[in-house]
Amino acid sequence: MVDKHTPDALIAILLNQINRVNPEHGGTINQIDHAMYGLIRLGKTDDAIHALELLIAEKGLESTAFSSVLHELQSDTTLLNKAITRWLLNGNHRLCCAAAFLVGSGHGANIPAEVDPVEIEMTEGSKVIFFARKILGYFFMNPVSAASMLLSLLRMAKDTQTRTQIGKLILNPLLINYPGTARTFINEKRESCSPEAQEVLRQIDVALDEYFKALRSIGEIPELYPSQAQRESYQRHYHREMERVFKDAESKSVILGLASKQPILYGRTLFGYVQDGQGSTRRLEIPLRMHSTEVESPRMLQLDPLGIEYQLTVFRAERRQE
Amino acid sequence: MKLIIKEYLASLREREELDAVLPDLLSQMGMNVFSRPKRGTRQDGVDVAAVGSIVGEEETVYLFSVKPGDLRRADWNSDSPQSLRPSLDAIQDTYIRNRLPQEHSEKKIKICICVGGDIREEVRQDIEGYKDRYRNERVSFEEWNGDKLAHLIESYFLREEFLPKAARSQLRKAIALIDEPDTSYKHFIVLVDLILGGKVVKADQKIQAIRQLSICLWILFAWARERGNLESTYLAAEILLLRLWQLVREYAEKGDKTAKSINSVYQVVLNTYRSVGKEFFEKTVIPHASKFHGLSNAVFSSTSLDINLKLFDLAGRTALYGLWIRMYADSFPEGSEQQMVLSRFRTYAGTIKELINNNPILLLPIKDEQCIDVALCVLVLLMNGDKESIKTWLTQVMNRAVFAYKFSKSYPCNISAYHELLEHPQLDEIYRKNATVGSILYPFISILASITDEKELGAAVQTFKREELQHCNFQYWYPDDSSENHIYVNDAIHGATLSGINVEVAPRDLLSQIFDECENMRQYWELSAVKHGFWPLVLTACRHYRLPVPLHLFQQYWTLTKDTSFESAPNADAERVCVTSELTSDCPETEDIV
Repeated sequence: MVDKHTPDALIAILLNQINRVNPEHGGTINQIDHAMYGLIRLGKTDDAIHALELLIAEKGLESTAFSSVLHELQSDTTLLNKAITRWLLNGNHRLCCAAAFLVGSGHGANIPAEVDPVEIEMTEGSKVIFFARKILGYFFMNPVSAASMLLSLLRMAKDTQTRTQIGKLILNPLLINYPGTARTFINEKRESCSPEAQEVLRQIDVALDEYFKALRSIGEIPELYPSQAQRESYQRHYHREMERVFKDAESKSVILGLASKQPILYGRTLFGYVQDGQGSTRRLEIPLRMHSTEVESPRMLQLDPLGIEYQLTVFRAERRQE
Repeated sequence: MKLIIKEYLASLREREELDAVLPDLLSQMGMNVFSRPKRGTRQDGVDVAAVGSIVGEEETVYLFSVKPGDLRRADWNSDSPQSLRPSLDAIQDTYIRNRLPQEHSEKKIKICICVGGDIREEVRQDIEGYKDRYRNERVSFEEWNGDKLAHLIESYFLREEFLPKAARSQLRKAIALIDEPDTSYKHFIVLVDLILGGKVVKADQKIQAIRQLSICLWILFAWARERGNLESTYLAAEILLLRLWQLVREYAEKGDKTAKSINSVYQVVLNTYRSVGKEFFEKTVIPHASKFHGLSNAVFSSTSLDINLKLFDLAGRTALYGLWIRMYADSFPEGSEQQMVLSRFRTYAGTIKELINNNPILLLPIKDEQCIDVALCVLVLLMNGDKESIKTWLTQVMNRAVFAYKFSKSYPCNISAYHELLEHPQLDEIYRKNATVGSILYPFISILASITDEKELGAAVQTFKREELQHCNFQYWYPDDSSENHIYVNDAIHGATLSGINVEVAPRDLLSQIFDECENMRQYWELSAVKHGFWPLVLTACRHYRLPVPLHLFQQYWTLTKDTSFESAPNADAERVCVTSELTSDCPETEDIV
């Protein structure tokens, strides 16, 4: 274990040897995860991030193997910004996936993030656009994360051409797919932008409004609706899929592993009698509550699923010419 | 039933729509129609003229002035050319004096005010006054309102001896279920089967059946228009064109009176198809094709499968309608009228281009058989001289097909059941091979790549075949001797398939391979519809019954590419299309026209 008593020289030696670990040795990896966590706690963030990069990019280890340290990175905004900027700019697929894991996993999914200005040279336009496309390629399913990163990139952009290109990417594929959460986020933050960035955002707004206005102008064309038989068939298919996903999720549930399950068929309050340990019974009443969650899915999943897949695959796969 | 008919008559919007029904009704009543409606204005006030006797009355000349909907004050006497009183004056002042055929000059004349709806009370006194003033021994006036027309239609077209109870019930169901187009269409098909399934052998029986079905289609159309859903009517119009051609085709070559009557009633059905198509496309596609994602979004579905199926279907229909317009243009001599029709054709070609550009789901079919819709669109674009759009489109289709296949996304497959398509694709290799056992799409793209001299596109198909689709049988269908008897009614499998098309050869060799078979399989040119200049009817059959579009129609574009004049053009029709395609290629860009 690494703690404040561990000499720096020893840490350096251990870090130098870290690339010798066998990725199949789960116990060792687990120890390394805890050691990295300790390093971050000691303020040796650069060392920890560098070591992680090595293990993920070169050893091919999955992000899930480092849940402790990644969770630590996730909970510190500065560290989070630093890690995701570094990793997306690097372009290595595994590191980019780790960045996506940071913004898209656990309770902090779809969290806002910003570009770490220390990590990127903004004067190089092509590098900035490469970075913007990586943000979309890997953060697309977390629209607020993508929007926040692109907005921060737009703020930092040095020239009109770069701003325009970033603006085009914000419009399509981001906002055209997520006119809800992502657009709301950008609208809330626009006041803090420079006049140049605000002008780009205004143009995006106009284009987006025109796009949706044209869609609304079409009205209803019942001739194009799927038939009743198709609708029913799709409902059955969807129901089966949901059932399968629900069962999968249930089988992985930690709570269901600890507690017994009592399905309630009627009513909105649960009551029963429990022994109080002194020989008498006590009436226990538990009001039931509704729980719901909302996820905005990209519009292109219906309108052009292959097109968006293709575009994001290209964004993910492209390499920067040095 | 009468109420249904009355409602249909009242909903007719244009004078031409009521005109379309009236001559057939009069003929069915045993009268001789000697003047039929012409395009444009009335002939000195007369829309339709007939002679004969109704229920034993003295033989009389009936001159009709037609007005759709209700007759209101504004329709009675105003500056409008459609105004009724000036028409009635013109009938008496000019038509009866100058244009009434000599043989009817001694007969009594009834001037009939024909309205689809009712004559409103506000104009009643004016009409009665007019009738009193101009009535004489020879000339009298009659009112044919929606009620009377409905009664006559029911008595002469749809009475029980002609139209069995079951058929009337099917028509009612087709109308009632217009909002569920698939079901409505199924009822209409049963209606067609019931009417054509009985003894329809003699010419007069055929005329009777065609008129009945024509009026049924019009009734369905009028109701569908009111309800704002033309889907089942569009499909009904297509099937009717096909099924009735089976009755008509033997008369197409003959020039006798019976043949003329049969051809004329079929023409009415064709005109109805045109009206249905015009209404359908002007509502659904033309105003919205230019809107990015517009029509994809209008499908209102949670699954991209529905959008894919609908949009390819819509593209195929739009192209087919464009091709009918293209054929229609050929019926005019060269001149301004032909140019006007050709500009409508170019509008449709431009619409197809916009439809593809603005709805990226059209960049990859999910079913291999959607190649039929792709081929129809390609044919329109070829006829419009727009090879560039074809190249761009098919290149994108290939790029996406390769990507989808390699990454197990929704690649084109041979599955047709909707519920199975919902599960497509599955990851295992056996499934993948089974889902792509055969293809007409890839050889078609390869053929087009060769015709348009697009080497990269051709190479992309070759590589895909070599690397991924060794198991897939590239093939194409040709009509054969049995096709003429089945293609219009789809009652049996017909045609022949060229199997194992080798795309991994030089473009010229590929085209020789394909088009030499067109020479061997000349039965396409012997199809009655093609022989009589109705070639879009064969394409209607291909679209409706899901048969590949005959490659004979593409052959001439290779001939053009080879630049060897028209010496090897298969026949005069082909030559005509070649010449016209040269004309159209000189025209400005389609977008400008649109």
